[in-house]
Amino acid sequence: MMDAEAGIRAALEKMWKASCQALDESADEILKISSQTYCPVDTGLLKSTAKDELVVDSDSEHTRELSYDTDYAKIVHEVPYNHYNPPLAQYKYLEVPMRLQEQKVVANIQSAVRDSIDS
Amino acid sequence: MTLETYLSDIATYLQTQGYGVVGSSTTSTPIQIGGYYESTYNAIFLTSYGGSDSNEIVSTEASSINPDFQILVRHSSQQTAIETSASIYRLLRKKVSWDIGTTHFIYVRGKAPPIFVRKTNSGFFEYSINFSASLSD
Repeated sequence: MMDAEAGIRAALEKMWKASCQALDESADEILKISSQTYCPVDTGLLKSTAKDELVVDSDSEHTRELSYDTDYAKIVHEVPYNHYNPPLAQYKYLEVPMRLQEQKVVANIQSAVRDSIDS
Repeated sequence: MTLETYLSDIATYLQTQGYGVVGSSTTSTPIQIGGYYESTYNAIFLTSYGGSDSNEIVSTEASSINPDFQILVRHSSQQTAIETSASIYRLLRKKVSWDIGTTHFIYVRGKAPPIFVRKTNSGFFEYSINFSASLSD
């Protein structure tokens, strides 16, 4: 009986680790898309401050925070304005790629969990 | 034609609720759609900015489109800007099965309380409120 319990615990541990890793990779991909495609570039300062931070990492919660760490990041993100460099640069440069990728994040985590069970 | 007109319907609703007048106005707060100007007057701007794909199941209704939109409140008084943006946020943050103008909203959901954006060079305070919506197409 103890062996079965240990086996279930080990499987759950593998699933949790796989889903955390999938989330990390997905967050990294979103930030790359954001900074390289959507983030407006003038001096390059805004783009260089793109930050991917693990803010909670416990046995039950794994949270990543994506941000741009400069004073005017919020203004560029929230004020509608035409940005031309790079060609797809726009306001909402972090929110738009996040929304575009959100279903892929869920799919990535599902797939990672499935793989961890199969392996 | 809901995707093309839903912002107009929301702007008209804000007008009926007393927030201003749709279009240009010198006597009341203009509620303007799609545009944003470095102007020196109090105003409310509605802007659509993408959204999510409709393959998530949000209701039993067969066909929906899910745009995101932003309402930007600008006012010379910070207190008024705070109060107006908070009031609009409360008004629209939890609408379900809501018919306004020609649009049937499956839902309108506030993403977050108002965000202070900046004080403009001309001394106006701007607050941003962001929403997700789902419309029958």
